[in-house]
Amino acid sequence: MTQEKKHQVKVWSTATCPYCVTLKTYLEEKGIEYEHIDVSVDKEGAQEMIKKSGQIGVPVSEIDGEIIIGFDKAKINELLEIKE
Amino acid sequence: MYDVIIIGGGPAAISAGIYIARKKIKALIIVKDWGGQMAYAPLIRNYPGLDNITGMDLNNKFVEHLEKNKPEIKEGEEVQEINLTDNKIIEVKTKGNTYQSKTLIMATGRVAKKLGVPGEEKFFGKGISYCSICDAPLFQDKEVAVIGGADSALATAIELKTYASKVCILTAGDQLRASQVLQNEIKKVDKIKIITKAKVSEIKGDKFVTSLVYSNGTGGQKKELPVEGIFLAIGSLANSIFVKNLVELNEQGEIKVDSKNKTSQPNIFAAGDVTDVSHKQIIIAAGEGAKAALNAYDFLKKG
Repeated sequence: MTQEKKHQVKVWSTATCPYCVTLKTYLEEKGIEYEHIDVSVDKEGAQEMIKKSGQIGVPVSEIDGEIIIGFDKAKINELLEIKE
Repeated sequence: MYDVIIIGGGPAAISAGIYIARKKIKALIIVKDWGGQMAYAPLIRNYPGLDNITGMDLNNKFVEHLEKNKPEIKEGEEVQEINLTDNKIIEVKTKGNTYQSKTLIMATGRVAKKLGVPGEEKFFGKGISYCSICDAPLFQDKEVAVIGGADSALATAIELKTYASKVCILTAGDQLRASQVLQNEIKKVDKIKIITKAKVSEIKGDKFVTSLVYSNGTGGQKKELPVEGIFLAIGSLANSIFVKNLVELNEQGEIKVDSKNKTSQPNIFAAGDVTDVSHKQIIIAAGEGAKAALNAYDFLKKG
């Protein structure tokens, strides 16, 4: 699948969190490239996530500057222009 | 019109889905999220044939197996209402869609209980979490509390000890209810403390959680415990709200079923943790799901 427009996507997660896995799998299925930050090893990345999102919980993602908390499929589809 | 609608995404629903799909009748599975409580289990060691597997890995195996049977699935749809028409047709309403079916299998599992205290809603995700396998690493070198006294509370504390500087378990009971194996394990850890007879009354903070307020014993004075993280492990409730006016529930809100997974409404079946089946286990839920599917099929065949 090709993306017409390249989006800037970043995902903060931990390896064992169920919704993080769901989110990352979903993006991969849709052929979306993303930057991945494992907050269990990247402390600075974790702080950045908390500061940007006001959230101490994963997953958090950022799509073209917009913060999404949790696996909010509708919001992700809207921002990435994914049609199901 | 469907022959069967299955609602849920945990082991009972998936197993029911596999059995139903193989019958080649018109069936639909409505699932909000796959895995249910199973997805959150750090490690499963009692599922035959798989002696050491994470909840998420087992869930993935279940879902892959289901998808191989090519059932019709509506994923990410949240059920809002279930009604029975005058001629006993089941009507399931989700956001945007209405589905009709001759029979229904409720496999909606359980949802985490809440404390019901001030600050709980406000600070959810801002220090309060239900998921230690997700969020424990975010509490590196911080003092945290775990609320609860059963196995899940102790497993949460054990998960947290790797990261947090201090873990305080607050249980409402006189003593912990967890298995002896887990109790022995936490006794060995200096940074885990236990407070019994603790009744949490408030969660305080600014942008994030800064403390919790609790009283110790009846008539005990209120004390404030400074913590930056609070993990709730106070059990769960049967997710039966959508059928509470259609079928009989027990006092715990669980759907009453007979040995054939029949509820008090002849064309509504139920399986797994949402029911009054004894012992809430993945293997039991999976077995019950299969049974519910076969019995719903028998019901349809009889006409």
